[in-house]
Amino acid sequence: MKRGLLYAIIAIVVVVLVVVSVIGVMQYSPKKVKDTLVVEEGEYPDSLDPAVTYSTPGWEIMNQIYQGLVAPNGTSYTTYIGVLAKNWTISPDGMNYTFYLRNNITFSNGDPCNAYTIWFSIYRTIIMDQAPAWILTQNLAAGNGIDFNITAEILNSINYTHPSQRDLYYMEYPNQSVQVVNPNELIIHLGYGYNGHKPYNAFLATLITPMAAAVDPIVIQNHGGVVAGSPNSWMESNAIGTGFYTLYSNIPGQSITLMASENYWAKNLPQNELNYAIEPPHIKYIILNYKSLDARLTDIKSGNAQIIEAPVQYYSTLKNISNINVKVLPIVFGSSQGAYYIYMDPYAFPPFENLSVRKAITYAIDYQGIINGVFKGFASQWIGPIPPGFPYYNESTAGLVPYQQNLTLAAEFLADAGYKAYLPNGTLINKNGKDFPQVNFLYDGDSPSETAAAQIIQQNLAKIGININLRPLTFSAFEAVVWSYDVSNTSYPMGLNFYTEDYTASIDYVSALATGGYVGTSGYTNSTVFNWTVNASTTFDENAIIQNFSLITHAMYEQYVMTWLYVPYILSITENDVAGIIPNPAGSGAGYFMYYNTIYYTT
Amino acid sequence: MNPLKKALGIIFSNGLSAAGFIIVISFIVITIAYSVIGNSMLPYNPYEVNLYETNMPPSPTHIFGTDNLGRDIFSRIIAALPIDIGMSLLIVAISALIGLFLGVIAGYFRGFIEEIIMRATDLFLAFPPLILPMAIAATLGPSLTNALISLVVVWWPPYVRLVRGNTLQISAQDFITMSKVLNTPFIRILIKGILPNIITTLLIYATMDVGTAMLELSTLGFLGIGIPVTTPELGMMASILSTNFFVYPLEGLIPSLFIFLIVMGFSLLGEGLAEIIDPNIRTHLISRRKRIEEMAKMKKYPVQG
Amino acid sequence: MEGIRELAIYIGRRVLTSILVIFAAVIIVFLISHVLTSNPAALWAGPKAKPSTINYIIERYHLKDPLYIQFEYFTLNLLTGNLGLDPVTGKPIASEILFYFPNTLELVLSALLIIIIVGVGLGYIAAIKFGSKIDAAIRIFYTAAWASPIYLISVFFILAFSSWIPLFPSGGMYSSTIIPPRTITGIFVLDSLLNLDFSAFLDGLYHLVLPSVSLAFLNFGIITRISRNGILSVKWLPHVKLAKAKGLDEKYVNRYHILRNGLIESNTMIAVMFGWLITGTVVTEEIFSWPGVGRFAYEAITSDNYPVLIYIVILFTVFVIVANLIADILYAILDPRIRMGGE
Repeated sequence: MKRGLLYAIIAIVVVVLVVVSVIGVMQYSPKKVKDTLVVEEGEYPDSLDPAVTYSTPGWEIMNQIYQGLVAPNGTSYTTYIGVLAKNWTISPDGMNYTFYLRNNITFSNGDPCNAYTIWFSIYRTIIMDQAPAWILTQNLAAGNGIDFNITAEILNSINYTHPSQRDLYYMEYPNQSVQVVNPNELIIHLGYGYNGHKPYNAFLATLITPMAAAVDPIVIQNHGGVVAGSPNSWMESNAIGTGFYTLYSNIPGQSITLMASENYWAKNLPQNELNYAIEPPHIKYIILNYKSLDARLTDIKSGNAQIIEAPVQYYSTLKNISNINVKVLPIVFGSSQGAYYIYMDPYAFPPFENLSVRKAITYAIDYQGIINGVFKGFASQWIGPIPPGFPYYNESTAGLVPYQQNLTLAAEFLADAGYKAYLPNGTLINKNGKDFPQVNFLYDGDSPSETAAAQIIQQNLAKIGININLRPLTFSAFEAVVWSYDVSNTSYPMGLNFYTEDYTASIDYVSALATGGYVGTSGYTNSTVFNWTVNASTTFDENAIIQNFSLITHAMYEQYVMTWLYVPYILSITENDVAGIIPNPAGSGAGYFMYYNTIYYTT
Repeated sequence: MNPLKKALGIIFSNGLSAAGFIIVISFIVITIAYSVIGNSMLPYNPYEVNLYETNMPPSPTHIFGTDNLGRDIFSRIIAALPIDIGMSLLIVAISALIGLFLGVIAGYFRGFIEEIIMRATDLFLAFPPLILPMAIAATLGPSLTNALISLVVVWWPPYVRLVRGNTLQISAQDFITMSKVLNTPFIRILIKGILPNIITTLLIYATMDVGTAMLELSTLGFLGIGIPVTTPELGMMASILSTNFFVYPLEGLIPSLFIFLIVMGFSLLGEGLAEIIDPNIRTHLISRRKRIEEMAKMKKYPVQG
Repeated sequence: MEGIRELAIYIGRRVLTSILVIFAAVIIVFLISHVLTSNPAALWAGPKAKPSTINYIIERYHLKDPLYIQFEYFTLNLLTGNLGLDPVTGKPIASEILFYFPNTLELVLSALLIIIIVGVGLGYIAAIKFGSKIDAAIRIFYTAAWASPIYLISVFFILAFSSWIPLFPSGGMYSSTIIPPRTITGIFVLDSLLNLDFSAFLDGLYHLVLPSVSLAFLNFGIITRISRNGILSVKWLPHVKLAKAKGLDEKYVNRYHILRNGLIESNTMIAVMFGWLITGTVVTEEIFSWPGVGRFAYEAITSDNYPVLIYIVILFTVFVIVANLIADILYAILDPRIRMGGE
């Protein structure tokens, strides 16, 4: 009998396990559903509100559900095509953009989308004023600074389907950032934002971000309206846009499923009006799973995922998996994801004011060692602030060689600066100098590659006599420090930072890295350089742009403002029968393309 | 008979404790040796990054291979022993001292003060055992001291209950009652009467608890909270499992196996000792998970005057 | 009659002290989170936040107010159930917890089921075979199980049964191809069953196997131990011996007298264990990408998100206290001696 019970228990457990696994295996092992594409990534979106999200996975979802006026023209990152706009004109001084909208655009719930909607959407982003709003507010504002000001109350009170005289007064007022001409035409006037009354040659690039996407005013008015300075909790997890996909399900932290929009407005558009950015999708469901790297690798191997995101270090591992297509993308894609450097904040740590100290640090780093050791060689050294592959990189870095390790030089510079220093053979030079004070070194502790690189940097610097305390923070805490203005009052005067594109334009990197004034870019606040960036962003003359970028690049290089480190390459990893991806550095889908509508299966 | 010999004889009379003893002693010997001699006893400097030998599989030159920065895993494991074992011993020792102090007061003086101590103990016992230390360690920032503080906060309550229970039992015995009547000073009663009677139970419980403390500590390391990043700590070394086990599983599995071995050693030793010395106490013993059991037992036989 | 009155008084006292303990816990958690955390406004505001946004957050979460005023807001929110907005995600905290908590419950309940079946089963076998090799083997097995680091077991299970032998999914709560059933309880497996959606149900079970087995694996030892000792302690009791002496079938005696008593022993244990398991899910959920409250807590901790963390800690604390309370009451009902004993 004892035996009976034992066997019964074992039998029950075994039977349950076997039945479940057999059924599971039969149902789910590599049996691909052709109307479904499974994409696996690491990080769940920060928000589903286009005015709030400020992360690659968030923008990836936004680009499928919401649409803006324009999109990048295929793989090009300097030309654009119309999405909600059929076409547009730019005034000769670059200050006024007139957009002519397509007819009969609707949201997935049937509500119309027209110039009134765009007017509402852009002002909503500006008035909510969340972290990414600066992308618009550098050129646009809610008021004209004199006699006209749009507030949350005004946005909430307007009837967008049948605007009253008063409503039209606000929307059609000419001296404002967004002026409605008629339901199918609007003019965007630059010059009201914090850049001042100047044109901006990368303005269209800022319009392809979710910040300028059309949101449904009726839905928002029904769910709490617009509140100045505050996110809208309904919009955080729901999404109704004009895009080709709709939000089908959302399991926080686990997955998001998109379904082809049933009444997508461009479905019945004649072929000659269609372009890749608006064509109806081929695949019905896009499932985005957010999993650990191991799980992602397991799933692409077993056929449970068709596209995954994995760091470039895994290239050779992935190459060994049959039936998948792994490519190292051109460096511009890596640049758009992250170009890394060491920042040195002279306001928080006076020794960094000394050029020799900055030189010593720069010469101490083993650049090739990091690239080989951490990235298995799949990274490229760079000279900032323009990242490699971006327009004008080659022109502005002409004649410069990326920083090289030279421990002897490094030690000599450190000694010059008045500190004790060690030569590679261990000899102490400048015995009477001071010890270099300990300094905190910040990096993103969530990132394995940064954790590894920081430890290498620590050892490199220790060799010449500089001791740094590694201070990892989690990604969100890290970002809050490096992108705050608190320069002189920080406990993180040094760190490993990177810049990810907000919009595909060299000026995005240049103005952030050369004049940003944040902790993580604090090496430089210099009016000459500031003027060069203004010149580079306001002129439409190629040579003038190149000239100014080149001046900035050389100045920062020679002043050792930042220690430019590396740009890791990124991988495109898909199953062999996935086709139709149109890569563009502006994209965020798996890190390198804009839209899922063009993707199809070849078999 | 030589007391050391006698103790060894007791330990080796039981298979469990013998096995545990051997494991524990060998690790402690290595730990002490490393603490005294330092890096020179190791084949490689455990902190030294070597970018030309990263992620090496086990080989005669690196018997456990190297990690993602080319550091020798064997050397790092040895260097981690003083941290893991030492920290765990410290957590348990501090908790036991707190437990001894509060438990004896509660059990001996009874009344209002007992009520306060025991309710506070209940309170801390109810806090989530992993989440609260994580929260404290995360806010205090990464350092070994902070990790220690954060774990002690949730570690002491079972000791108070254990000591109080024992003190209650002993205080009820005639010789203590007599001493009280004779106005013997409390300190004297404590040292002569109470301590000798509770110390065995406490030691056995603590022995088994060291392993559990190590599991908890290494879990903090695994989650990357509270332990400084370059520190060789077994849990932190194992954390490579969460990103890299698909490609280099051994880099994380080997340190985890060492944790397992040490914890197992302490558990076996404690359990064996309990079996030999006092077969009755083992029902309310056995470490962290055993703490629950201990709680259940307390409920079953609440001692109240 | 007397007995029932006594029981009522006992339960009343326990409930009252539990409420006091919960209140004290709330104060302590509040103090820890507010005193230890430096000004988190910049962090919540996100990168490149303007001073105006940071000020807005400071105002909204009363960060500059004195502690006692913050505590007042906090208790008021707690009592009205309006927990406010998550400063990181912008969603209502109450709805987030309501979403994550049932998922954790699903994991914990299934682990508990496995623990009871395997734990009591092995304990019974070990007790019956007392002193034999089987007994020793079982004891070594469970000692080894609870000496294992939780991440080692979880990762090993994924490696073994998802990568080497691809039997089970590597993580997640259900396949994303599955359309989630209408929410009734919030527990996926239960909801799909209630909605008669069997493919979703099987899919849910299928995803549940690895995480719940690894959670159970680390914790069954305690039950095995308790039921083994419980059974051993009654094995030689007079009424059991009497039953055997009376010539009752040995199988019958073993099954009914011994097993029943052994189960009562582990009964309270199971309630306590429930409280324990629920807090022990952080690592398991993290490794298996399980969208539960443990993982949510981990994220809250790593982003200094203490408005969320504070409620999670309170939730867990309340759960542990309530589980203890239930265990006490159960025990008092099962074993009248307790009530006589005073507390």
